[in-house]
Amino acid sequence: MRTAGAALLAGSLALGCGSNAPEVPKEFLGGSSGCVSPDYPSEGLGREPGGVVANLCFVGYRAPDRVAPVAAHRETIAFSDYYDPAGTKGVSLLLINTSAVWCTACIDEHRTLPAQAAELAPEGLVVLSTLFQDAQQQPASFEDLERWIANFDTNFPMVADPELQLEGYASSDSAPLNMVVDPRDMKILRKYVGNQATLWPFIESELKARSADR
Amino acid sequence: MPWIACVAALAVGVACTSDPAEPDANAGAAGEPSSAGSSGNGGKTGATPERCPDGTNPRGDAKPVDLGIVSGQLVDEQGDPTSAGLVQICGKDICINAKVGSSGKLAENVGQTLDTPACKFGDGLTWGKLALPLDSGDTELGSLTTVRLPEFSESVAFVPGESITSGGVTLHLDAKASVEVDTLTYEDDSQRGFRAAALPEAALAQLKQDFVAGFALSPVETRICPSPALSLENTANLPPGTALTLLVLGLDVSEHLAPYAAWQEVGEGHVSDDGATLEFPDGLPLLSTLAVRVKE
Repeated sequence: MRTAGAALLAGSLALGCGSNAPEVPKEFLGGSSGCVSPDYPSEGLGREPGGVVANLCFVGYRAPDRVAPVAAHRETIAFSDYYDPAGTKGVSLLLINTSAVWCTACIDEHRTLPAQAAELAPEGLVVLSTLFQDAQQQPASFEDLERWIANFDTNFPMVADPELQLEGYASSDSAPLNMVVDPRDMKILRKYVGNQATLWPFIESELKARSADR
Repeated sequence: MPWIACVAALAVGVACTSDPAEPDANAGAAGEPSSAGSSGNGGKTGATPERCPDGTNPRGDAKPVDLGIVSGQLVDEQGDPTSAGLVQICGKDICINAKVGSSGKLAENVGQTLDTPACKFGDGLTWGKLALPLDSGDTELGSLTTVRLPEFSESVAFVPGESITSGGVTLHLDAKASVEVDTLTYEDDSQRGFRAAALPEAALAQLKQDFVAGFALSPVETRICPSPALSLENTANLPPGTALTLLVLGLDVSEHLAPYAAWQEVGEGHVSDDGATLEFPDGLPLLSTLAVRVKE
């Protein structure tokens, strides 16, 4: 059972199993500027399309398909990590997604989200998803986050948001939220409350347009 | 994944040879989307490691519905107000948690368009889970009767090759049965045993179907392969030999096994010769809320 496996693994790490392991390469763990990013846009902040998304900061896993999602590998992940004004990070588009264990629409969405993220990653799409509550509407724990990742084979940055930092962008009583952000200026391009069929055609057309611009 | 292999080695006392922290060279490819069970790759027990096959129920077309105010009064089996743990207005696209106070009163001003919306009540943990489809505009659902599941301490482990019983429901598990539980909702083993409770008459009536019996099962959306034969307590005192139809309630928006918020026929059966039980030898494809209809 994968969940039990993750728990056992954490124990095994504590006991030194795999102590001859090589270091995890920095490219799999790094990339975070922390919660402070002086270069991040500070003007025009907003929660609707046209506004700049605030530089929110979470803890989670940047590449859970490459680095086992266990406590030792948790890291700070901020929106500023994907701010790419000069196009040097290779981020063409950022999709910020919210999810909760009680949300069946979120579960349905995450069954296909890893495949969609992988398909469009070469075009520069980065998906960043937050898990904010468990099945009983309690703040999501890291254990919830790790179970979620194991269940869906998550292959994009996935973080816990027990403090409901994205509450201002959509009510936490309603999920999922999908917010498409331009990494060049961190402006919100579109907001979709729900797993809407129109989301992916928009993303694909935006990526195509950006590819043509390059 | 190497770290899973490492765990397997530890479990049998063999030296751990795989490094869980080492990046998987093959891990850059897209993860296969999960589809079985309600939450993808669920926790499994049983001798057969293979996953249950995906259901073949086709996903229905989108049905956008403009919702207004959804109201009702939640009560338990005794008619006392309850919040039933969780009350939601959920479509296939959006899920909204409704506010229900200790008075049990529901008055959710949705004001949105949802795809195939339903009012879902009961958390599947303490309470059985039910769903009623919603039409456009304001909806007064009236009295919504919920059913309390047995305590977790009274749950029964899924043991391949054995018959397990809870709340008048018996599952006859194949010796090679594989069990997939929703490990997101049911967080640890203490919550992953089998529990069931009969739906009281008022709960059956609110479904507005011609059901003669119904039971809420947990863990909701558990898949058991091969499907276990099912025996139900004859709570309706139906005469021996009566031909029956078994239905399950679709609670998963992906609809692999049953349409969302609708009832799917999954087998036929009959009342046992001694009249004590309702027998469904074809098996139950998933644990959900189920109902029985007399076959015409």
